[in-house]
This record gives sequence, C-alpha cells and structure tokens, in this order.
Amino acid sequence: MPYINMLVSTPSGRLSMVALAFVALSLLWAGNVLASEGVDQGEAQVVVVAQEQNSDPEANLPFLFAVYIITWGGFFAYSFAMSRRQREIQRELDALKAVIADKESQPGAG
Amino acid sequence: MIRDALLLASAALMGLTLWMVFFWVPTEANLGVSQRIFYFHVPIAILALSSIIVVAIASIIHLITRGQRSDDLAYSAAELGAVLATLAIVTGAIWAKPVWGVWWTWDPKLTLTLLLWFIYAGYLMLRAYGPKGSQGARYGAVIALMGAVNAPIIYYATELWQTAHPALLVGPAAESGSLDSDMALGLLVSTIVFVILAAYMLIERYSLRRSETAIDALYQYVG
Repeated sequence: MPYINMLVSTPSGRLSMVALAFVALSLLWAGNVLASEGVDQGEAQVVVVAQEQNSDPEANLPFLFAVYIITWGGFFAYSFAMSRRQREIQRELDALKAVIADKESQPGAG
Repeated sequence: MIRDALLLASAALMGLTLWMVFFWVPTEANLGVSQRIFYFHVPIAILALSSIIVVAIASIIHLITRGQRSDDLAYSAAELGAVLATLAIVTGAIWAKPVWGVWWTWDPKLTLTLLLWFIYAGYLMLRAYGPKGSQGARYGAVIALMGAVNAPIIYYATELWQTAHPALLVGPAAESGSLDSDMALGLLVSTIVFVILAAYMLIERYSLRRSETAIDALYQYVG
C-alpha cells in the first residue's frame, strides 16, 4: 500500500502508471486482435489492406478523429496535471513561509 | 513573456494546421484520409526522439558542471518525452490498424520506439523512487545516454532492417522529392506548431521543476 501511495503522490508517477497501464492494455488488445484474426503474433503478417478494402476515401475518418482527440486529450491531461502540481507547490510554499516566519519570530531566533 | 508568445503562436498556428490537415492537403490515393494521421504522428514522433537527446545532453552537462539547472532540464524533458512517446505509439497504432490490419506488430521501428518509451518510464521511475540528489541524477544520466543511443537507431530502422513501417520521409536520410509538395508543406507547418507547443510545455515543466527543487531545499532548511 505505501508503494501505491508513493506512485500516486507525484505527477510523474501518476503519469507513468497511467501510460504504463494504457500501453499494457493496448498491447493486450493488439494481442487479442491478432489472436482472433488467426495471425501468429511471433510473425505478425502485415497486410496492406488499404488498397483492397478502402475504396471509399472517407472510410477511415473515425481513425483520424481518434488520433486528433487522443493527441489533444493527452496534451490537455498533461497540462492539467502540471497546473495541479503548480497549485500544490504554491500551497506548500505558503505553509513553509509560515513555518519559517514562525521560527524566526520565536525569542532567541538568530 | 516568451511563454505567452509561444502559447499564442502555437494556438494561432494550430488553427492553420487543422485547416490544412482537414481541408487543404491532398488525400493520399491508396491510404485515403487515414494518411492524414501522418501530420500528427510524425511531428510527435520526431519530438519524442528529440526529447531523449535533450535529456542526454542536459544530463552530460550536469555530470560535468554538477549544476542543478541542467538536471532540472533533463528531468523536465524526460517527462515531456514520456508523454510524446506515449502519443507517438498510440497514434502509430491507430494509423496501423486501417493500413496494416493490425494495431501492433513487432516491427523493428515499433519495437525500438516501445523500448524508448520504457527508457523514459525507467528514467522517471528511477528519479521518483531511486536515490535522491546527485546520485539519482548520475544514474538517470546513464539511462538517458542509453536512450540517446537508441534514438538514431529508431530513426534509421527502416534503412537498417526490412520493416513494414513507411520509409523515411523527413530528416537527413530521407530521399528528396519523396513527399508531394503540398503534403510536405502541411507536414512542415504541423511540425513547427508541435515544436512550439513542446517548447512551451518544456518551459512550463522546467519552471515547475525549479519550484519543486526550491521547495525541497526549503524543507531541508526547515528540517
């Protein structure tokens, strides 16, 4: 449990966990897709299907939008994580300033 | 001031890029609209590779000078690089599905990019949970140098091995004229936008990292 708390306590730790989980799930998903299509994962047969299957040039529009959304979602999530960390830092800084002021105001403080 | 200018420039140019990607660039004859993923995937992948070089250079400077600023820059670039590498892998997988029929294959270029992602993840994990201070920075520098060695191998993977990944279209090893002029212009604008955006995010993250370092120093002072 303490290790999980350590992992989620920093933005980079959380980012790494989420990204790791995302990539692991993607790989598992890719593995399932390969298995369900009867393709040997060791020698994944790459088939150029675009010419045969996609006579309609608009057919893959959802893939383009998915990339667009994921790209901007990713940048947004990272920016959000940074701004949240910035607020935490500001809070910590205020608390530390109060502690230091308290220390220096005590009698005999140099 | 610089940050505001970068943010404004990236926002304005992003509008232009989106218009170019969705309405202006020609549709590739064989791949259809999915080829337009190229205008997102390629700049992000270039930046993911460049980030590890920045991490390695900053780490080397830190090893020589022992300066805290270079270490903070290395850490910031590594975190941004991890985000970019994740996006490069995900956008690549989404592009692969309609073209190759699979989301992922253990193609050398893809596998090496996944290795780069693990290098970034390893670096960040080490810095977060490994030794603190200069010892952690030194260990991190070793990982960053491994990543820097990996980066050119990823770039030249299509030249070194027979791969399913498309041949090089940008950079020193790309053949001239391998890309339609309109597509090349679209890619150029898109790359400039992502470079500006990445520069903005790196400056933001570096500033945040400097604050984190200052806070750690204050904690030590307070006891």
